[in-house]
Amino acid sequence: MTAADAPGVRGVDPAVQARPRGGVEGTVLMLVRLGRRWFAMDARAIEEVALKGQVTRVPMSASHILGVTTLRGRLVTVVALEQMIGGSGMLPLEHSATLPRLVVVRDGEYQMAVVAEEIHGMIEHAPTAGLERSADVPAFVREEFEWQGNRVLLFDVPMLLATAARLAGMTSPSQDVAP
Amino acid sequence: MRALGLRTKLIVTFTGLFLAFTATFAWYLIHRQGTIASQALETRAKGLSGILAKLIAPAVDLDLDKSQAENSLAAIRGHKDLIYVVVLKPDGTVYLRHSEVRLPPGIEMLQNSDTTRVEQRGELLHVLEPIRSNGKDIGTLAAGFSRQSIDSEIRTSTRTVLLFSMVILVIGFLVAWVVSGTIARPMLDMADQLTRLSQELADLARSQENASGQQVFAIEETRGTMEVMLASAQQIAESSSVVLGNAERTVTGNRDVAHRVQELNSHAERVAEILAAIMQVADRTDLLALNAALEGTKAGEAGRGFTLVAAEMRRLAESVMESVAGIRRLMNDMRSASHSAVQAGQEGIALSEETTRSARDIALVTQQQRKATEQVGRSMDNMAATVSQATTSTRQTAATAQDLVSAALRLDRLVGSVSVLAQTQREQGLSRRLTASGDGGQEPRRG
Repeated sequence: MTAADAPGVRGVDPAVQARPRGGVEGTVLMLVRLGRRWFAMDARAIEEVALKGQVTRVPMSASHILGVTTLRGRLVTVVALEQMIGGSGMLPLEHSATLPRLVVVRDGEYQMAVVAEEIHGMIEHAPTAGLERSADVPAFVREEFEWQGNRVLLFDVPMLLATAARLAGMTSPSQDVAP
Repeated sequence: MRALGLRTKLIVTFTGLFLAFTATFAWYLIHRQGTIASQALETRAKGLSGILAKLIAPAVDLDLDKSQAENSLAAIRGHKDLIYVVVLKPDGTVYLRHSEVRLPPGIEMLQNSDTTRVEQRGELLHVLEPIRSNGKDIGTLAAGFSRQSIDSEIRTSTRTVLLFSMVILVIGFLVAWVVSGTIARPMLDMADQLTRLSQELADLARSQENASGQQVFAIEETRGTMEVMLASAQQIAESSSVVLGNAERTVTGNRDVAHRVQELNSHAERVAEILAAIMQVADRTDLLALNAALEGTKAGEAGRGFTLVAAEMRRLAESVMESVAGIRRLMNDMRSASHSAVQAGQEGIALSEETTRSARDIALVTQQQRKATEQVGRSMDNMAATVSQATTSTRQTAATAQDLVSAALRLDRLVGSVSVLAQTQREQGLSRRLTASGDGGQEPRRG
């Protein structure tokens, strides 16, 4: 069962189960799926969601850089998350209800796009103890939590951007990125 | 005489011939011997009378004493045939009379005669011999001779001839027995063989007639079957023509269906393009709503309502996309169904074309079969005519065999080697068989 099959969870649903109890305000997250795995990112770090257009490969670039694409006249670097976290490959396109999306995240002036096969929408998520972190989870994963029976990795977007820039040999706005 | 066989007839014939020959021979001999004996007696009587006339002439001429004259007759005394001697003078008086036995009166022939006369009177041969002396008749010698000696000789020779004839007859009978056996046995065998052959010929003719009848029946039956086959071929031809028309209409219909399905496919493609456009619009709407929700979220509490509206728009867009996906699935199902329908139509066209070819082949084969059947029917007619001619010939053969059997029966009757009863039985048996042959052979064959 995918998240899309569950009615009433699209968008910022007040009844979302990720809302913390006791009236504590949570963070609005955007849930995206890549392959068989679900990821979450802070909605405030997401600049926009666009259609995945043509991605041009950049010679001599790192393996996690799919290439660059133009987005309203701007060149945006497209990152392959599965390469960064060592996840599984993408599922066939027909298994997705929508076309592939590009989720453009920003940290300051630096921005890049990640490919998402499906975007569920926004949920409110209260910071909790969460699940126990796996040993092979990268540092840019802030938290793992359970959502509708799926294990969701919550990215720390500035660290994700810093990690991608470091792997690509570039500098990122976040100087405290762990090596 | 039917009971008598050929051998008996031959024996009787040969024996009769021998009997006739022997009787004729005996009669001739006996008659001839009697004649010769009579002539001999007459000659001897004449001679003896002449001698006596010469011997007695001097005594008569000199008119000697009777005793002296009787001396002249001494030479003839005791002659076994001489019965009496009377010497008459010209005046008819008896000069001398001599008799060996006592004769009844009037038996002597007392006449003068100037020539020698011989006359048979009763059982005696009378001779009148003139007595001459110096050329002058001086009296007549009348002598009577008995025929007893020659009759005795004739009877003796007759017995001999009869005995000899009996011997010849017996020999002839034996010869007839042997010859008839030599002739009759081959003829008997030949008659039996001819009878057997005629019977076999009659049986053969009957068998041929039966076979001809069976052939005629078989030909009639075959001709009936051929007529049924001809009618069936006609029906098959008509049915194949109907099938051909149906198959051609089916081909046309299937092609029309395929054309319609192709049109339907083109419409479906058009619908798919429209659906793609709708899908694209819905996707853009979803994307737009998603970005709107994102902006609303960034706006905080102020953008919450905007976020809810965007979420509803997303839901609508996703609903449209789900509907489009359902329509696409239905379209795929329709495409598959139409593809299957096209395939089925093509297969139907192929089958219909195959049916058309088969129907044409059936029509062609049926036409050939009809021609062949008609040819067979004509052949059956020719064969029936031939068999009819053969039947006629067989009947003629049977009639000839019957004539031959009758001839064999006549020959058998002529040969007569069997008894009347056995022959009657054989005739009755042959008559039954010939009748049975003439009636078509319903009589069971005799074993």
